[in-house]
Amino acid sequence: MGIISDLRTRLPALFTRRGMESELDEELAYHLEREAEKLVGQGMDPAAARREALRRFGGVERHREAARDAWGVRWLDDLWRDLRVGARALGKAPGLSAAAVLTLGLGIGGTLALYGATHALLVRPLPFGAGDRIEVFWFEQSWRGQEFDHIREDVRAFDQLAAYGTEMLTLVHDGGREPIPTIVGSAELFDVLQARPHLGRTFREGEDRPGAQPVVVLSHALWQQSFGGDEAVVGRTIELDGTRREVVGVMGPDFFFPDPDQRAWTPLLLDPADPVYATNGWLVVIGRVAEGATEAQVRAEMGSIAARLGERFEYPADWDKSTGAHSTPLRAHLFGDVRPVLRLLQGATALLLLMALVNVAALLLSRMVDRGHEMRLRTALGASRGRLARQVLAESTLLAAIAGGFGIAFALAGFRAIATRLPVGGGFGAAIELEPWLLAAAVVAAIVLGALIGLAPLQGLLRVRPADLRPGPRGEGGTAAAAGGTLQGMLVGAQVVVAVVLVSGATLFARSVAHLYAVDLGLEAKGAGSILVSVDPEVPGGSSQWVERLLADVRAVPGVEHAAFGARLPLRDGGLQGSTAVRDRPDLAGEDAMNAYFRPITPDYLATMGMRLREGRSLRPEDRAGGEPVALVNAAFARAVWGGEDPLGKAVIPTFGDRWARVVGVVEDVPLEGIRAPAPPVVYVPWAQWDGAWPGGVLTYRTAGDPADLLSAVRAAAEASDPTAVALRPMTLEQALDGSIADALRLRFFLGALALLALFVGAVGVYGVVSYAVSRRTREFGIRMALGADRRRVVREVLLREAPPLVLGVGAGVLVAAGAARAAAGVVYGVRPIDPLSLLVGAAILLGVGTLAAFLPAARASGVDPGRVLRWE
Amino acid sequence: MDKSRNDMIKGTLDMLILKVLSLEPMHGWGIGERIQAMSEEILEVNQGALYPALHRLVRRGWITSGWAVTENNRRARFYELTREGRRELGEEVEHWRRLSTAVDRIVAAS
Repeated sequence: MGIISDLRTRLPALFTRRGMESELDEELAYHLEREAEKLVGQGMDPAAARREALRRFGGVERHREAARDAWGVRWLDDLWRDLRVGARALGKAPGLSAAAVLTLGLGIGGTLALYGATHALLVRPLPFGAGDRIEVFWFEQSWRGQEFDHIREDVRAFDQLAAYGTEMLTLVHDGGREPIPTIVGSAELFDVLQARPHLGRTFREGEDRPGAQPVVVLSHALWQQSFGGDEAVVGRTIELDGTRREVVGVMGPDFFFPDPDQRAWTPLLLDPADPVYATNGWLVVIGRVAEGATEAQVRAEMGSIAARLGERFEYPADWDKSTGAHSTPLRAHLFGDVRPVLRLLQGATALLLLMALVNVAALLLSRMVDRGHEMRLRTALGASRGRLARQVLAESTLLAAIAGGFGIAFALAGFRAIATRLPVGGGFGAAIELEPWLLAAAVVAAIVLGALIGLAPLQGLLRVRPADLRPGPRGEGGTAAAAGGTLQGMLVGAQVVVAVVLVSGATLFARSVAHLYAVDLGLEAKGAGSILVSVDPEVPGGSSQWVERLLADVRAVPGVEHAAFGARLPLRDGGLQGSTAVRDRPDLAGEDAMNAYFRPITPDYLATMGMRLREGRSLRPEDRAGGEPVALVNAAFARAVWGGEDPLGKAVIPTFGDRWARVVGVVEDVPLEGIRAPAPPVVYVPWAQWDGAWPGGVLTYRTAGDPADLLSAVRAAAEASDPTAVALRPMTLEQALDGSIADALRLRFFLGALALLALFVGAVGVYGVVSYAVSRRTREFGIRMALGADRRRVVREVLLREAPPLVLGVGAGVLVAAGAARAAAGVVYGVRPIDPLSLLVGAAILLGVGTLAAFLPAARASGVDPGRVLRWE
Repeated sequence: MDKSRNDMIKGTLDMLILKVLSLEPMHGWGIGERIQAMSEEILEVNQGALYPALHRLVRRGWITSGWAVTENNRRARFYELTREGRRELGEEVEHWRRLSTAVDRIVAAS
């Protein structure tokens, strides 16, 4: 009963305070009126009566206070007052407050944005039913239709298997032509994923067989953007790469497979009569693990699938699909490579936040100690320690709340930019959203942080006895200053350590960024295009004649300056490597044999790819079958085998060859295995001198203008080169290589930006803390100079006093940074993880900033008029 | 009258207010006047304590308040006893009687 009526009074009091207060005023006014009337009735003069009534009443304000107390809203009043005072205090040191808000805000905002982004990638479920039960089979992107058909039935540990490949098809509509990244999949693809369409249907059984009607399933984004979200699109026929296809379904807005960049799905054509069926290894095979199947069962299944492949097909040793069978969960396949990187980013951001916190705590502590005077005054006026503590807490919470608001705004504004630059390919960055609950969490975090930060100055305050807060002879709050000084020194030290780590990291990564941008891909991706072309193995005249015809046709396309053919595309395609014999190095045999990549190319290859020749000559049309076998090696090969010796004239037997070939030229390195690894050794041989087992490869061409313009013409020419010719995956060379480099580039950008931020925050933090510590000694300088101290000596003393935490911090920071750099070793390329230069720069920058921060205020202070300072005292 | 002798213990004031209101609903000033009158001018309510006491009693749920028009057509806040208040009054009076009886006994001893 009591509680309810209690609440009934308190709750409305919270919300309708003003109303209740005015009612109270009215009530008290009535009381005073009646009392005055009574007194007049007793003979008093009206004015005197009113005064007497008021006197007896004891002052209205006290009643108001008491009433508010009874209403239980005094705490609200106090809080509001504390906040107002806190705001005023913050305003009195605008530079410091701004620095604190800025660093904390950036820390909060950066953390919020990054965690929001990485959370979506690492944790959010995949947008189709079977999500975590999908396994990707080994040898991705190299399965042939024939192989897939052989294994797709009769699996037990898996419910179903599916295969898919990536294509770039041109969509023709009234808006013009548009290249659409498309997935070409077997009929059961969507069933394996357990994905339901938003409109219409997905593939039906048999749609991947010859004779089936061509169909297409659109992605939600494509549907919205190119078809206006028209619900009547199902049933329409559209033209994709020259084939008219019926739109049978549209997927939901969240769906993607395997990444958000893919905009449409068409059925794979599994036709045994098609030459590509048996020769083109470009598919990825996936399977949905059956409910209740154990890991052992899955592994066993893999083994038996591999065995079945081995029975049916023959594989060269390096390309043996029948061994090493394993599967990778889809999520790991998509993000696996990226997980440690993302963790690294998270770690770096957390460190940034930590530094910001330490920074702000140090700032507040400095200021709090300085406000000893103010504290003494308030104690004299009757404030309790608890009251002062509450005041300080309110102030720091206010600071944190403002910083939090700023941080949230920063995160929202920068989220898009951050997300699209995350080191994951496939358009994932663009597809993720900052979830609202994260924003809410950030707000709560900011408040909690504020309380935590407030604890630091409180520490100093509470350790001090109230007696010490009363005016002392030195007028500086005696013990308070000392207690604050040690804690403050520690905070400066901690601040510097973290700052050094981050700044060193910054320099380290900045150097990686610079290095990467300077990294020579060894080829010129701009201005070139690539298409996969293959023919029937029984093509009349053999594959080399066909390739010549092909190139002649392509060169006839107006705009094509160079054209060439090669077995593989660098950076994107691996494979085709093996041991290479070297005539004058018989020791390189057996286990020590030189392992090099094997690349058959046509004469114009180097010019087309923009690759550079270091010595000797490129391949020529004269290097044909029946002629002297020749070869080119790359610089890495020459270095590894012959060291400084001139490679020209030496002889090698390339991997798939059987005769000595003379080395006639040395090619500059191309990082075939990807950006993060050094360039491997490569041997290039003339296409004409090699009778390949696979009559297919990569056609490349170079043009002065935009290679995308010529894609369809070149493709048409390629398909015209022979009735059985098939051309796939036409794209510019930049697009083709994008997947390999872009991720690394994005990571570097990201880390570079994070590092710069860290540098900024670190420098501001150190500067703020140290300069403030010095500036509050202004009084002391004035006194000492008035007492005749030499200006230079004063400044020197200051520097010496501020030095220990700085130097210790830097030293400790360097050690920690060195340790952390080891952890980053996998991610950093081109710069040794223990990089003395980076560590040195980090330490130097912070020492410099710290010294400057101590020197400037000291210099300023020592120039202060002593008279003025003494008057202040 | 010497004020200090008539300083009332907080609890006593509460009880007197409840008693006054048990007779009829009244506004704040009237309650003070009534106590004074009923005690034949011996007790003078400390005006500073009156309203806090009233707010306390409202919070406890023993009295409620509402606005009404007085006999001179002015608006004032009236208080009245609730059922719980009536019960509380009974308990407090009982407690007071026991207390004062005990004190009497001690003082009357010779």
